[in-house]
Amino acid sequence: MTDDNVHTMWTDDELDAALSALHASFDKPDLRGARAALYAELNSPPIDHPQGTHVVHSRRWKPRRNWTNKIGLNRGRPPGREGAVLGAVAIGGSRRRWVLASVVVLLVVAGVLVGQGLLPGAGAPVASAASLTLRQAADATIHERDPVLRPGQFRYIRSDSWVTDGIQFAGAPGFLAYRTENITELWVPADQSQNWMQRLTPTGKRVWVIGTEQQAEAAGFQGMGDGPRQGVAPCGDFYPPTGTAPSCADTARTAGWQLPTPAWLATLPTDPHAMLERLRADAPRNGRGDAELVVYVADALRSGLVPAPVRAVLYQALALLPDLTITQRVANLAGRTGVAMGIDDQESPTRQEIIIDPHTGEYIGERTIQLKAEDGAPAGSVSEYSSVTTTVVDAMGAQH
Amino acid sequence: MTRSSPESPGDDPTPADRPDLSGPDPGVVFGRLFDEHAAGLRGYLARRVGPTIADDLVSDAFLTALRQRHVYDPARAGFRAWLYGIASNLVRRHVRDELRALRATARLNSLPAGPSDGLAGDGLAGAVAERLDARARVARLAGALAALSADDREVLLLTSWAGLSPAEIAIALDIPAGTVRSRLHRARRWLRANADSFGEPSHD
Repeated sequence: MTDDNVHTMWTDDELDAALSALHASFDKPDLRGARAALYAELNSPPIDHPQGTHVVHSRRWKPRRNWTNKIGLNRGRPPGREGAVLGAVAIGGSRRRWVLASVVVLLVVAGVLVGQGLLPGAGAPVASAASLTLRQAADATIHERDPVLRPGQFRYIRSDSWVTDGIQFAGAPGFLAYRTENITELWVPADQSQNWMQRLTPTGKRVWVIGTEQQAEAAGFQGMGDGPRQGVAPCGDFYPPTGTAPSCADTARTAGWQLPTPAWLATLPTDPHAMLERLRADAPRNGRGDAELVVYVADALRSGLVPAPVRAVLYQALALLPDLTITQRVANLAGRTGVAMGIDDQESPTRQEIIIDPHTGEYIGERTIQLKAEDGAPAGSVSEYSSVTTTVVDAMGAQH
Repeated sequence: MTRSSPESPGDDPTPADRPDLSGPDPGVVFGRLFDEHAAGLRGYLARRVGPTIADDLVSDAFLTALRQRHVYDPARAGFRAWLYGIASNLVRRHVRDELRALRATARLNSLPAGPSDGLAGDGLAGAVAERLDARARVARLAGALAALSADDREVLLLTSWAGLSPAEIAIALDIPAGTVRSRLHRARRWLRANADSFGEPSHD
């Protein structure tokens, strides 16, 4: 529509202004697919399946992120931090973003919760009550005494979780998805320089979210083929660098929020404000806001290896966060009730919450709330769930 | 062992942008690198090839980085430069998409402003005219960028959109820094002189 016949030379400023305006307004990035694809690659090498079928291991549901990090089952930053979306799969160069709804989660979790008359949301979230409850939990934690292990005993940490996996293949309908149950167990010796044991057991339970078992079989799907995996190593260093022995030294590889060793735990501040500062310093600065801090706390708590005094300071530090949302009377996957608290994610319409027993300050699980209807999961629904128990046993491999 | 967690760059003698990727346990470091760089990379790629392809390329770039981590040398390259180098290779397969998007912008943005484009406040008429002028300039730039050589365009946009320094671009594209600067200079000079002639939405 412009009819200039005279073309003028632009100034540098005009060029820069046009450059900065060009294609500048794009949608808010949704990085969950890319992140899930990265984690899928980190977690498990691609498995070749017949007829171009590929299995995606999302591992979104595996809750034991830190010790599985350590033992190599689930290396890397936990996929469970992301919204209710499964990863991306590459087939023949094409890539599609998996938008797997929390449908399965709803099936399974709703079953559990409805059965107990404890639907999430029974207590409305009250932000202002959060810090009070956390301080109460902190107080309870301070009075709580961690079980003392006698020589030869083991701390036994067991988590039940549901993993969402998908398969993608050529031809209609192109992709199918299911959730499957995993049990992860860890035995930590009283003397942590002794042998630890870890075991991952896929129970084989499977619920199809997209498609049916028949469709999957027709597409050549033969199941995950994963039997139980088990390993033993001192200091929990199950996967030392190739050619080296397991190490008991604290390094960035073996210690941190995701891997809370005793020496690393000793470096944490005992003052809540200092603890919050430490959290802010250690957590990556990304688009998630303070939600990332809750994730880091959850990473540490999930290990079952954070002693009560440190847990108390962590709760006190979380209580300082202005945007913390708390939901009373939440059941975890194992049926224990607790208090859920978390911060709305700035990057995706979800809130990841830790669930603690307010009477003992014990961490008993996690869940993710869908804040907005997304990918088939209604607003307010629970899109992730897990339960964790920690007990003392007399022998490595003993379950009670 | 000294505690040199990559998540506390303050105590870390190694700059955070030069991580050691050679360890057997890349998960923690790649998780951090993804959180630090994915959004920026996605923003850059979305401006070049559109959001849909950008989503795929971000994923591809990080997967490629993960698979090729053993060739990454922190002594030679910052991670960001290396990552954008990988991404640049991927973008090259989508030159046609990039050009299509630029030409579409050249056509769309040179249409008259809609009623909602008016600006409130003082000097309304002048502001609207300015706004139209700016829109027209963006449209012309889009057309001109499509006419620029792919190499020059890449250096210009890595600078302007990704915010990479000439030294980083030299590493990303594996060309001498002097070449980067001369391409950048040439691209800017050419655009300043010629962009104005790309205003007419004449040809498809």
